[in-house]
Amino acid sequence: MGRYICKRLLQAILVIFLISVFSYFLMYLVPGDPVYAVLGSDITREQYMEQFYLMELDKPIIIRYVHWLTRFLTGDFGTSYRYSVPVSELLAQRLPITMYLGIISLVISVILGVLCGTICGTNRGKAADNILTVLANLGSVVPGFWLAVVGMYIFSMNLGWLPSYGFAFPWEGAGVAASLKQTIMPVVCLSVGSIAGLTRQMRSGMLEVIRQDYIRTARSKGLKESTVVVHHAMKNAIIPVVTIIGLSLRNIVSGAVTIETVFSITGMGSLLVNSILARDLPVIQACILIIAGMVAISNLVVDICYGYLDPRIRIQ
Amino acid sequence: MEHFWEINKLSVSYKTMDGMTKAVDQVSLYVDRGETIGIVGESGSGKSQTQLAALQLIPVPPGRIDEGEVLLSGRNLLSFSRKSREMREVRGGQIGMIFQEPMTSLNPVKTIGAQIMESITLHRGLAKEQARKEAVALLEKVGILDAESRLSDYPHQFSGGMRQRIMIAIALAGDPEMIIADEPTTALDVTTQAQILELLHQLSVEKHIALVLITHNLGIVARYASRIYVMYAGNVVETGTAEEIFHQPVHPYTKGLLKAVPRLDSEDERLTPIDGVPPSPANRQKGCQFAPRCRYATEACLDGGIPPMQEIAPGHFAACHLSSVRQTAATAEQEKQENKKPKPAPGEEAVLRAEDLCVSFAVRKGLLMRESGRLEVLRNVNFTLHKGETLGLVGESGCGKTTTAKAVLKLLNEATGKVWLGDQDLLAMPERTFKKQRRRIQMIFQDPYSSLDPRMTAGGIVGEPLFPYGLVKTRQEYDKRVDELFRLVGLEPSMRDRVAHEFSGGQRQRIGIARALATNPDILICDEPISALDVSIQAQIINLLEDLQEELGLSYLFVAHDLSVVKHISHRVAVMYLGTIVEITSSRDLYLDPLHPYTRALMQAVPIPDPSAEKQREQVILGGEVPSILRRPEGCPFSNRCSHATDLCRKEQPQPKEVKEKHFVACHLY
Amino acid sequence: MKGFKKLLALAAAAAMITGTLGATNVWADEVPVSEAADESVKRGGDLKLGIGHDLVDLGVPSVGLTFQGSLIADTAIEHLCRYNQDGTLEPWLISGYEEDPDALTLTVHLREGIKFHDGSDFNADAVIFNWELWTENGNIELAGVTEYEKVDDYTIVVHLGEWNNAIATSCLYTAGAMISKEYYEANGQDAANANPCGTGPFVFSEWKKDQYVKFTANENYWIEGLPYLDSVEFDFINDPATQISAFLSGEIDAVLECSADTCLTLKSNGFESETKPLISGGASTILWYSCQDEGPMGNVDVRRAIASAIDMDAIWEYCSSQTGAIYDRTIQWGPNDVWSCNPETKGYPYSEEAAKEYLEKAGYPDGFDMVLYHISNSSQDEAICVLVQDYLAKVGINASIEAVDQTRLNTISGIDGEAFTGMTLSAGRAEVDLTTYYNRTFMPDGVRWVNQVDHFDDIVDTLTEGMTCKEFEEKEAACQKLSKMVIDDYCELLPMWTSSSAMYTHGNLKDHGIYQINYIIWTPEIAHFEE
Repeated sequence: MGRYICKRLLQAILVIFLISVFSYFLMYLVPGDPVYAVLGSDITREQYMEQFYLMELDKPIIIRYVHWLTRFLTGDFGTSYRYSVPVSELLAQRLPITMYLGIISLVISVILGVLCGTICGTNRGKAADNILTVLANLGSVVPGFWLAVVGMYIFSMNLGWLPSYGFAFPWEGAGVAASLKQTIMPVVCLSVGSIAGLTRQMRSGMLEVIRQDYIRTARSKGLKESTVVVHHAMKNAIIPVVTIIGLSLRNIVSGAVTIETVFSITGMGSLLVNSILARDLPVIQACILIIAGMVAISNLVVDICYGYLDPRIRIQ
Repeated sequence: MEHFWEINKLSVSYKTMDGMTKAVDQVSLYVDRGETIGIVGESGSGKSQTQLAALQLIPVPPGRIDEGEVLLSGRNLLSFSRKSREMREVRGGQIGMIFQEPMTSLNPVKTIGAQIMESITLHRGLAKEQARKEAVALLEKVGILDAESRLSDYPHQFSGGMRQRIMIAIALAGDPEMIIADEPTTALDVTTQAQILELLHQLSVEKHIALVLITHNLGIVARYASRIYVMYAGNVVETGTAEEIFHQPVHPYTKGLLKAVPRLDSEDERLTPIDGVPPSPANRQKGCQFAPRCRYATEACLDGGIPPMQEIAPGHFAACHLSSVRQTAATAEQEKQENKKPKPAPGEEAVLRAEDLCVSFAVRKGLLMRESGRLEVLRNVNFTLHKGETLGLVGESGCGKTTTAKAVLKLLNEATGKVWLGDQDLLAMPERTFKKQRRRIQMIFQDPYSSLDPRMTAGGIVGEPLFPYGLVKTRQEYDKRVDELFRLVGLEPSMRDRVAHEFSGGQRQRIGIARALATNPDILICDEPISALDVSIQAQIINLLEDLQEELGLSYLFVAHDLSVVKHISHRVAVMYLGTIVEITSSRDLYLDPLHPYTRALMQAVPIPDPSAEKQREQVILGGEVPSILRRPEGCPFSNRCSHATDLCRKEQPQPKEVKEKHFVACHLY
Repeated sequence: MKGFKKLLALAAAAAMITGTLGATNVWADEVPVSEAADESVKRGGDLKLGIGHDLVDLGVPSVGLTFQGSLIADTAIEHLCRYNQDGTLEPWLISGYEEDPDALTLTVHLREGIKFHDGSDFNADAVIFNWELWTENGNIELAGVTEYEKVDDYTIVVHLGEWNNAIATSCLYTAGAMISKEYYEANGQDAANANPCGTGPFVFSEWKKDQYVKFTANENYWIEGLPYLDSVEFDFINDPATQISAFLSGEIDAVLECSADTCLTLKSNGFESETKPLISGGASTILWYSCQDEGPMGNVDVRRAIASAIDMDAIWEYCSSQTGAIYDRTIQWGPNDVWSCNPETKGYPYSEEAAKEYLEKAGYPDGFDMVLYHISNSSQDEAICVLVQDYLAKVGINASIEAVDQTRLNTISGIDGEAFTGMTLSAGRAEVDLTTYYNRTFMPDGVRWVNQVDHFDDIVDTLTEGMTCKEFEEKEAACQKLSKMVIDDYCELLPMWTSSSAMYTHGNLKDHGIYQINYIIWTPEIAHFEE
């Protein structure tokens, strides 16, 4: 297993490196003058040329890439064109927020999704299954930002229970209650899609597993149905669900730009999108690499989980 | 007298697209403490459904228990709900169950220790440490070595036989008073089968556990069961002691079964098949379910409703309208004429000869996939097939019999050696020349359900080789030949335009045979052609093959693992073990005088459907596991399991010797 | 309150009277607002404003703040002068100034007794430091200064190399936002940029990037009794739905820089924008011709034809109705009703016949093809272009519309743009003093829209005259002449309107001064809540 992990780690590093190359080259092929992107359009010729040389735009792209890579590896992510602050500072401000919301959303999604899916799978055709399946289908098509706006309309404008915007950690000034109120709507909007997808996947996995011979054996042992479902069926049914969870792990760092915009949350999603629109190259590259790194890690984590969950893979 | 386990008039039906279909129809049976009973039947007989329904293990939305009671020591289990505590205490606690598929009956993600201890803690309430000790003891009892360390292993790390032992351990874990074994050995090899059954028998005797053996194999019930229930299409048709059932069968179905099943100890008696096919629960008859297939059926049988069980002798019941006297008289004549037709002797000419046939695969390891070794599947296989002869090729899984069949057909690139077809070496022949010879050897496959193209008509499948080989010139000749082939195998030519899935299993196998015969071959290789068919149908196909051999002068290479069938149909039999032929002799001698220790063990492992014969037989069960070619011993491949093994055996591979006339053995003992 | 306004009016009157003198002399009375602390005014309250724009720089005005940034910074940082409604300067942190064109000097007299938030004194050193910083950060407005002479702690004489009559505006308004020299020198530009340390009524408290900026009341503000409010907070809310929700539910007291959707929704909920037409800082929406084209666009009659073919009033009405911002229809490039605006400019009233006549005269009776560029992602710009296309089609001009992004537009219209046949729709500044921004376009070394205008000598001359004349009247005349030339004589561009952003309150916030006169200055010191 150890060797397997090492091999996958090396692969992951290779992938991330390739992505850094692609993203760097791609950004420079995109139209839009990077000098204007930094300084704005209201500048003199001298200012333009000064910035031009400062950004090494006169050198070939490979040299620029190598310089960039060297700096990157030493922790210097460059300075944002838009904000004129080090990119690491921006990331340090926004990444925790996105990760906080992302992890909460992930945990809720997994718990609810697996639970609902199990209920559906074990009560096939009955009321519980039908209702939950309809809800799951709805949940997978409803856009998160629509839900956000509707929620805001109901809970903020009309009822006044929850704030329309803003975000603060529980340990910051306003207190735990205020932070919680601010967190509820964004987390719900982020989670709905995942819950729906996980429910459906778990349901179909459950339906397949519950027909298997070993479930019949478990029942013939006289076990309670709940024990059969939880201890025997779920462990098998959850294996394909792990793949799906793995796919959505990257949302922890990539955030969701639409929901962040609606709730005025300063997260990674809006950072990435706004940086792309403003051609803020250092930020774009840093974000891409962080997301790529996360994807690589989540793939690795999923593989390890498989090995843990399914002994047939672990032990040859 | 109160029986331990009693089922009274149990009826179970299922809701299907065609409405409610009855799977079990008013079945009554009982088991006493410590007793071993056998429930015999084919597919659709309801033998498994009865027991599953009794324990309320059937899925209830489509299934439904219509009526009946199930008494366990007098308590009616059906009065408890499916998920109630009482039922759960019974399941696994007082009654343990073993199922047919050991490969899929264990939870793949839990250790076997966890699965055994689950039962122990549930039913015996022991603490974790205690439960663990118990689990180890159970594993040792069922014959798993290194039980302590193997507790933390997962099911996929065990072979099929060992998994079934683990299932037995689980069934025993709750300290049951009865074990229901539903086809426990069907998926296992012959020697493993014997081991498992023997184990069950010992446990039953030792712990005074009642044993319900559900199976279609008459030999098993003959060997182990004291009383037998014969079921057909959801009804019990006959019950009695083993002696009564086998020696004095009353119900026509029982009689038919006994005549249709080949026995190890029978002389060359032709099998009498039962016509027709077993019914599916969706098409139930109005009267006696067996009437359409019964040779003694009368009007009353067809219309008169399900016949009630009549007592023929104390404890011997049969559900038949006709008295046995009338039956016997009517058919004694018929039977005399049908049987006792001896098999024609084979000719002298050798049509196929395998000389030093070897097949080995490269084992590749590492990044560059270098060959790190070779895996020898077949080692120096030699045999001769004469004209009009059937050579049987038997062995357990991994022995290489299917590989031999493929090699002979030039389907394996890795095959070396020589295969003489007449005077030409097939393996050395270039492809162009072989094309013409190919039509002389044809193959019949095992699975009639997947070996026919689902999109082609039956006529199309059968007639496919006619034009390419130039066997017919015109369309009329083609049609005539296809019709002829259909009739040859006993199918109506009018069924030519039907598609494969519209035929039953037996009919499909006939189509497969017709296709093989289309090219006028000399040799047919039959790769387990009947193992996927019901018992009553198997006899039909066996007879068909025998007739065709006589009529067309065909030679068969018959590959199978069912020894009784092979012995019946073959003139000579070759026994294979780990890629080599350990013994070749006539089928008669194989049973009467087996020389190789493995052959002896095989013979002893196969039960004969005759209780008195069984009682007289020597019962020596071969220990150890069916080996894999990855771990082939040095010297004689059987040396690690043979009770007579010497140092020479372990060091040097024995060569085949003609010990008696036409009886070759590869063993150092001779 | 009344007292203050009266004083203001007096000061303005005084300025106008004295404005005709050769040496411009502006004085203000003593600290004008000692009575401003009106007892009847309700004190206290926390003001929360929602603003729809992000903030990048805050505390060092020299680096070039956005309009929104300047507004926010104005809470804590004050200017030496503010603007009056008619476009003249009102002394704020200074007590008065004198211009002497012949001596090439500007003398500035600072108010005494003002302290920065870090406790350091507001004095000549601080002011000079700010002016020097302005130039250091690449701004050109004070480039002509040869020396800042500190006469004493509260008097400075600015020496010029050549006379530039915009020097007062530049020193006292444009570069007149004052931050603490000591704080800057102790902490560096980056820290100062993130911590505005000025003299304003509120002290900077916290800035969470893209979330909010907080200020608390300055206990030691130089006007006694002020400010009335306890704290001011700007929350950044970009999404229209959120702006609406936050405003209507009362989470914020006012919303600025809101999107068109927000404006329309709030309008339909009965709220009126409190913005007045701005005299400085508004954006001028303009259709630029590609005057350097060798084809039709290079012909002034063609351009006149286009100007006549478009019913700009109709477009203005339509766009006004679609947005909550204030659109002030202009026919000149600059704000209306100020001294630089020429009342005699005729412009080109809508007339299809006139357009066709001009076209014939120019030699294109059957029209021609052209391309119309606008910024993508702006539905209003798209709508305008479609309407323009329609009008042009009626006179036979076939305009194809192309949406491009801002950087591309800058390239097309800027230094490196190539000649083309078409127009671009974009926005520029609109200031009182035309010379401060016309030079960036019409002077030979300009940078904005230089590819699209013709650099005529007489425009350059008039512009130069306007920048160097010594009398205010001369300047006024030059500006008005410039304005007329650009529109009537050379038809260099087609102005549409000047716009400013909408601003809504619940009606209980008074005297805030947001978007009343100009874009970047408001009156936080007297803002207060009313029942």
